[in-house]
Amino acid sequence: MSPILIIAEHRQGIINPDTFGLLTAGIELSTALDTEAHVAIIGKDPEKLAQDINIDGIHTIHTFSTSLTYNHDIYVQTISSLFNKIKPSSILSLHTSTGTDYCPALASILDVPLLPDAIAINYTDQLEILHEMYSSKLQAKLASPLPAIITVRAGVWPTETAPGNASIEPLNISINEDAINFKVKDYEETPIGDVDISTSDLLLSVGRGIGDEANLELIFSTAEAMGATVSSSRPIVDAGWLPKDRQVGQSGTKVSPSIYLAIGISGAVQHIAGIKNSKVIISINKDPKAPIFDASDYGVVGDLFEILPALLEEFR
Amino acid sequence: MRILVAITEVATPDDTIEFSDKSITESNFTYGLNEWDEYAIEEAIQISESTANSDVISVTIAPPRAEKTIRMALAKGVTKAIRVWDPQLESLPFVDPRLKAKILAKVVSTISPDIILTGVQSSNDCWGSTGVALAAEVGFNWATLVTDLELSGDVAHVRRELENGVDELAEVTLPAVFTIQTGINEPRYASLRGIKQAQQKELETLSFSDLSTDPEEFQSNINLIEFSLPTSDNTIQYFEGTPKEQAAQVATIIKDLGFGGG
Ligand SMILES: Cc1cc2nc3c(=O)[nH]c(=O)nc-3n(C[C@H](O)[C@H](O)[C@H](O)COP(=O)(O)OP(=O)(O)OC[C@H]3O[C@@H](n4cnc5c(N)ncnc54)[C@H](O)[C@@H]3O)c2cc1C
Repeated sequence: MSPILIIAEHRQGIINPDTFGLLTAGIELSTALDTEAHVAIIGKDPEKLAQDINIDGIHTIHTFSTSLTYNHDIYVQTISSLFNKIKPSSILSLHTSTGTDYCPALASILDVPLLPDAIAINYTDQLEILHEMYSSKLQAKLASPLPAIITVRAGVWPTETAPGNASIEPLNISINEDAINFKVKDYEETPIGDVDISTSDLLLSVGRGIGDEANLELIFSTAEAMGATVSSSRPIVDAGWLPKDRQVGQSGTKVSPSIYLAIGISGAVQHIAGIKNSKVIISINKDPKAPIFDASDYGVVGDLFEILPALLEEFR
Repeated sequence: MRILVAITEVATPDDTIEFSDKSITESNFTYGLNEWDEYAIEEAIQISESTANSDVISVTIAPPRAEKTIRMALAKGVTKAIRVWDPQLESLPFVDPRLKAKILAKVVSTISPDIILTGVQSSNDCWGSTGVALAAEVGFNWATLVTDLELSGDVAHVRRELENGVDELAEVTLPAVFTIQTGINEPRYASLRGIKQAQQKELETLSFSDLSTDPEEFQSNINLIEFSLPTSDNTIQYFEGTPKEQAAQVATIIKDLGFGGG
């Protein structure tokens, strides 16, 4: 069987730590297929980046030296030529802002199946993945022929690794500059205002269940009474009810409080990604099937408009 | 400028899902427009309002049921809507992103848009991949996770939202597909006048034979083995009782951990 090809993720010279979980997923699949695991690194100083991910289980690291900033046109061209050269059994990438930006195009161009956001990968007599649908309330087990392109959810596979001695092979590919129609100009970080939720030890976090901007008053008075900082899920920020620096999650801030109180938050994957390092998670939600309960230590199934006023009384 | 916006209908998140191994029971769902598409439609309408000679055409792959949702898009200001459906799709548990892209690509070739907007993902399928697959299928450029979009000449300046509060500022040459992230704008509500006008607007329906002489090309290369409920090895303690009793138990935990003056 031909190798598994894993595309390492990095930004501005730093390996995305979630790449290690991706490498684990790729190595596991290569073992199931009884084949080699190869990695590709596309970027500036790729040989240097290759040292950081030269782990046990990787056979070869293909490097391609290009600009510091990510460019999906260069990724698609480079990975397509590598695909034609080593004919991998499958390609794995993270299901991130980077992976979802080039993998679907790659799948179309190479005309292979695309299996997005895998939370499990298996191969016995065919390739199978698990994919969550309907706001994580349903799982679909999907199968496809090889080779396929799989985007892998970050934070699911273990990240422990041992040093390895993969051979590092620079790729000799010429890029068609005329086909580069996308250019990164700059990066910007969300400025942090007067509160920094990432350092808060008690967070009272509000989601769409609050219904209306006026109801935030209830959240703020409860937070004040118990000495908590107010944070939120994304829709509250999208609606302009709270500033972006209060948003918890994948595209917001990752938090690590002693207590995270989730009020009317369903627990979408992108939200959970930001709260995993909380010591204790307490959730209040009227939907007993809300996925937030799968991440919580304590749960209250009920109406927040009945429970919060009572909670406020407890701290008066 | 001609803007195509690819939109989809979804069951709302707090719907209870009934399913068998291979299919979802849809009868108990409440349907609405996919959240991300609300923003894509608004962005398309705003661009059309500020650009002379523009129209916004929406396209949706969905059974007739979705027409009510599509009319809402027309009521908000979409000029014309297209709905694609085919008996071949009835038997599929879902439409995978590459198949969606292949179907949408045929519509693109008949209406020749200058730009295409989609939502970042649909909350039911959670593929997060259709926009980029479509771009590659039709040979357009693309930008994903867009939270700001400025067109100038044949270039678009975009803000892309990455992880951990980092934004990327990028430039892409038109024609292009943009996948729109929530929060980019403030989606409007349909006016009463808009809702009335929507009844008169064109909602064209197309089947595979309208799109291709070889409907066999619309095959999925992904098979569903089975649906199942998510499993969890999480242990959780639920607080029971009246709201007051539940609140008291929550307060005890908080105070025991040294907060709230406990
Ligand atoms: C690329 C990408 C990045 C994203 N980044 C983030 C991110 O960083 N952070 C983030 O939060 N999301 C993010 N999202 C959005 C995410 O997918 C969800 O849409 C979002 O988290 C949902 O927020 P919510 O739980 O507040 O709302 P919903 O999912 O609408 O949930 C509302 C909940 O409130 C409950 N509820 C309603 N009324 C009551 C009541 N009276 N009492 C008690 N409970 C009630 C409901 O049962 C429901 O569970 C991202 C999405 C994408 C695609």
